[in-house]
Amino acid sequence: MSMFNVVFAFLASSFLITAVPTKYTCRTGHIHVETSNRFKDIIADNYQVYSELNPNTGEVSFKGLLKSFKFEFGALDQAFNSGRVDMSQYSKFNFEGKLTNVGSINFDQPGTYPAIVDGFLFMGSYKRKTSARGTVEVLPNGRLVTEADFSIRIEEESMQTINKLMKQKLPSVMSLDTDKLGISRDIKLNLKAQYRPRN
Amino acid sequence: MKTVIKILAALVVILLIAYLVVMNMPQATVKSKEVYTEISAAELFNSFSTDEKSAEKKYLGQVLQVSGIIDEVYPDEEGAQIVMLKNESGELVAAVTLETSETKKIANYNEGDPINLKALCSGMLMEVTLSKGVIID
Repeated sequence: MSMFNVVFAFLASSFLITAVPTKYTCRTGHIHVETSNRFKDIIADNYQVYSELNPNTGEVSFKGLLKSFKFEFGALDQAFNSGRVDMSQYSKFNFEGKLTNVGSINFDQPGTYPAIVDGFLFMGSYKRKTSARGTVEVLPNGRLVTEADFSIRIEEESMQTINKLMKQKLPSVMSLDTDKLGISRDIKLNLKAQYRPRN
Repeated sequence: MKTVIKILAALVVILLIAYLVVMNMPQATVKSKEVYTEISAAELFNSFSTDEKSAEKKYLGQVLQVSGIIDEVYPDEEGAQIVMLKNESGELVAAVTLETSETKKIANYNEGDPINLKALCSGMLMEVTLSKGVIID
């Protein structure tokens, strides 16, 4: 092998090493939430989710603001987006986790790859281990499109906290609780994000 | 007896109307809402960067009139336009998602143009995040 070939091979391999960016970021992630109660299914969307994905370590995170949720049910949307609902204690949610099968995703090769995510969802002091299955699509332009479905079950003690809050905030004559309202303990989340490569 | 029936019937009608009004309420909009305060995007960002908790108490869920310089405009997953605002030194300070009715209006603006927006403050992510924005001419 001539000296030229050695130098060329070295430069080519350096290029390949830098071809995969150190991270991918997304400012416009979309979270779709669905849950139900006796009267109406509650559907909400948040289109202002920030997310980062590290293709080398598989670390993935997303964070968003509770006030950015848009509720399909207009009355709830108006109440939630008013200054009357104080969200300053729980203004944000975030997820920190890892793609456990990152080794099987070729970020250089356009295509759709299955993905498994494990991590923790945080909201205020609330921390919950969460996992999801989804896909990572590598686009020919180097961007990524990811989609994952999460399912969260609210524990009994959290339902009791909600009941306590309802007692505090609602007039006593209403005497409502989560059972009377038929509030489901299961919440379905779908996360979609389109990432741009960043170095 | 007839009077009681009439009162009950009136109550049922009132409850039915109230139910229909609540179930068909439109989503929140800032168009008809009063502005809590006028502030530049840079000042708003400084306020959140300095003391996020106190800024949240003051601005979260409030309708603000925000001024700034356009850095970039791009669509979100829903197709609504996001206006990224920067300060004088080019640092990104606010991301305002516009109502879909503003899509045509924002097409008349270019990067570097000053803009005035009325929007709902959602809090701080990488920048101060505002939603349901409308352009003030």
